[in-house]
Amino acid sequence: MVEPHRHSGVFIARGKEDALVTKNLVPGDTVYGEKKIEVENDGSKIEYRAWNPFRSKLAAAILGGIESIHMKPGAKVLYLGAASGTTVSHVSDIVGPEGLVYAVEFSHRSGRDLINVAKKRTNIIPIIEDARHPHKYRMLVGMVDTIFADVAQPDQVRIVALNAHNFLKNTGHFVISIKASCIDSTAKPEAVFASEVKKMQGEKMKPQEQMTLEPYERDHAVVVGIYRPPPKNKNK
Amino acid sequence: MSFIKAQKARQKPHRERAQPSERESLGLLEKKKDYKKRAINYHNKEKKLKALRKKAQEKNPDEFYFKMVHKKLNDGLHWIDVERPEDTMTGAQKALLETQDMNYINWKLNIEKQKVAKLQKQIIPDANAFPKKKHIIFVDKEKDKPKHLINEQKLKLNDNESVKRELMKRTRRVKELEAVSEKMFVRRIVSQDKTNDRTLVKKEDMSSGAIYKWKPMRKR
Ligand SMILES: C[S@@+](CC[C@H](N)C(=O)[O-])C[C@H]1O[C@@H](n2cnc3c(N)ncnc32)[C@H](O)[C@@H]1O
Repeated sequence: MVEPHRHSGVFIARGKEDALVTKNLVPGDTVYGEKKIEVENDGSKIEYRAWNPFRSKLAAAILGGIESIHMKPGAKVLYLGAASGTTVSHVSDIVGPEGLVYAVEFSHRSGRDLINVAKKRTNIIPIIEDARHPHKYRMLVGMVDTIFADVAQPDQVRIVALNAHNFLKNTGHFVISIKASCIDSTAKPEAVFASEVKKMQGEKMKPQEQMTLEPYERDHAVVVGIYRPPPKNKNK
Repeated sequence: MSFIKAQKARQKPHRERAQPSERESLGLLEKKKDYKKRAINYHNKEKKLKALRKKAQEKNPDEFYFKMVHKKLNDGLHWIDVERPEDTMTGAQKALLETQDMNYINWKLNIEKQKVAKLQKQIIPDANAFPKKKHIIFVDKEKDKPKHLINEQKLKLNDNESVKRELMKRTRRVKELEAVSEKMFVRRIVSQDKTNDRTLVKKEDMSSGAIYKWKPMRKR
């Protein structure tokens, strides 16, 4: 039994134990050895892939009850720090054939796997470049609705801001996963998250919510926000 | 023929039934083919004993045997000089074989340790062992607060039973491999020790290698 999740494009498979799943864009194909679930729906078969919250911070955030991930069928997403493409493949499932995922990864080794994933999933555009230099791939990337960042770098906010200035539409959203120890391993995680949120406010990025990822990750937080929010209406 | 082979490739691999976990102390589950081997071995021994017994019964005390001249008495023990089997390996070759074994064990140990670490990450600890999840919503006005957060879709998630069971098995295996690795290491060092200036501190036991103490030596 599969039912839609509150976030469109994400589903819940009910069973002995429930699991978060996404509808497989390429039926029959798995990316990292995840479980597949097939459902008969009046004659036609639909295949879903299980999404492991221990391997993906986005899945952990969804299970934690994040308000919105700002990724839905048809959306265009810029994904910074794609690694081997495990989470990217699920994002590609969510946005579906109408959407697009621009996946930026800097390491050539992970990039090889990412390119293999993109060969089968045509809505992923792999970009093997440093996300600190968005001008190197500006010819490949159009305006996007959402930026997701999981680069685990101390200057992560600056990286996201650079990309937002280049590719994120006004009132578009950003979703940033922050690993406290990657930014400052001596400070308290709470303090690190607060200082990162402060940095965002200096870049026309307005945070809307922040959530830590327990019990799936320790000292990790996800911050969701809006870019260049519309001016507030004073009369209201 | 090749058609049949192609069909086989699509078959599910046959999986053998394992010993149920509550009967684990009895060792591996015996299958028919294992029983066959055990039975044949048992009957062979029976036959040999029978033959020996018969020979002893029918022995003629006056008969001549060549062993009567070849045998010597050495400290009260019967002794026959036989040719020692030729040594077919140099010391270096033996040492190489040993290190190969050690490398294999250490390689397996490493794999197993990585698996354990991965499994440990998957276990959800008790809710109170963990700092609680913190969810902050930044809003300008209080009434902008989203409503649906209160009635979140409830999920019944993995209770970790199978993960815990696997973790237990793998940690046990890590311990065994560690012990083997340690024993091999100590034995190798002892076999290479030319000084013989060591005293035994603790004998080898089930879970760890022997411990020796060497005389402190001044390095030049
Ligand atoms: C924590 S991993 C991302 C994991 C991935 N999001 C997932 O859930 O499957 C961070 C990745 O960001 C990449 N990265 C780090 N700095 C980068 C940069 N400046 N530009 C692009 N990628 C970068 C690293 O190579 C690494 O693979």
